[in-house]
Amino acid sequence: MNEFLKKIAVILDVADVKETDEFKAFSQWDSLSVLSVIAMLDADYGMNLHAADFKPIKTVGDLWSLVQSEKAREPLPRR
Amino acid sequence: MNHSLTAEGFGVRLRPVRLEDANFIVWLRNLDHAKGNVGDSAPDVAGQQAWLATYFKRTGDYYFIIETAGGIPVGTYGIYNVDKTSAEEGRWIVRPEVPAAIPSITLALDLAFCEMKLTQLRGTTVATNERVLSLNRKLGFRQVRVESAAQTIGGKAVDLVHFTLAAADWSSARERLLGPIRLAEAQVLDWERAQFRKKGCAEIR
Repeated sequence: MNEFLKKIAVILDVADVKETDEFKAFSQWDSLSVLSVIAMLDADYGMNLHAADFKPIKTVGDLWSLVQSEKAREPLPRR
Repeated sequence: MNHSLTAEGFGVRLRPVRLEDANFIVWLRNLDHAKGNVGDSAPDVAGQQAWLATYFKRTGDYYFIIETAGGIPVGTYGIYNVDKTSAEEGRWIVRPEVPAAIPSITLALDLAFCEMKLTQLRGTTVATNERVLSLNRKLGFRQVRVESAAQTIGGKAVDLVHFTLAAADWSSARERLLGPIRLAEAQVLDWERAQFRKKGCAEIR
């Protein structure tokens, strides 16, 4: 989890993020940040998300939960 | 202005706006993410058609529809008040469910600086529109000033942040965008295929 939070913080160009932080609360949460998170999830967690998949995700913790649920499904689904 | 400029790449196309786009423009500009962030516009199709009729007669104004390679409209963009080598840019709205923002702005800025040979673009963003303010900076725009209560949108006075983008700054920023652009391109194509599937059409690729 800590490593995941650090990666999100780097993308958002902030010192740190918390599980409860809402993405929309960050002024840096723009179209490019969404793409950067999608790219990070693909490269580091083997997840192939689409921008529309972010619609129900509010907090950093929501996204982490999605990562965990995808990891629990082996093999990882690819679209 | 009746123009013929087009550009295509990264899964999207910019083409001149047409009178029959009025319906789409009204729908797009009234989406939640656009309201309050773009200037007031015609509330109905007839009003939008009237605005477009005036636009077609105006020189130095290039209004584009952003569409997928298969022709599904996903947004708008404009370059206007062209004065020799500088111009204003704006009217940029993209359907929120389509990741076409980065591909379309890349195509638009390439068009402005390479095809139209502009050396500087000027733009304004509503001060509360933090996502676009953030993106502007990543695209190489430099903040010039904040104009207090510069415009009334939806009956409310809003502050506008003024930006400029020089061709050289765009060139530097563009390099950093290439990875995300390719990812977005793939996602736009996926979205387009899904739309065609929903309509029962054969896939275009």
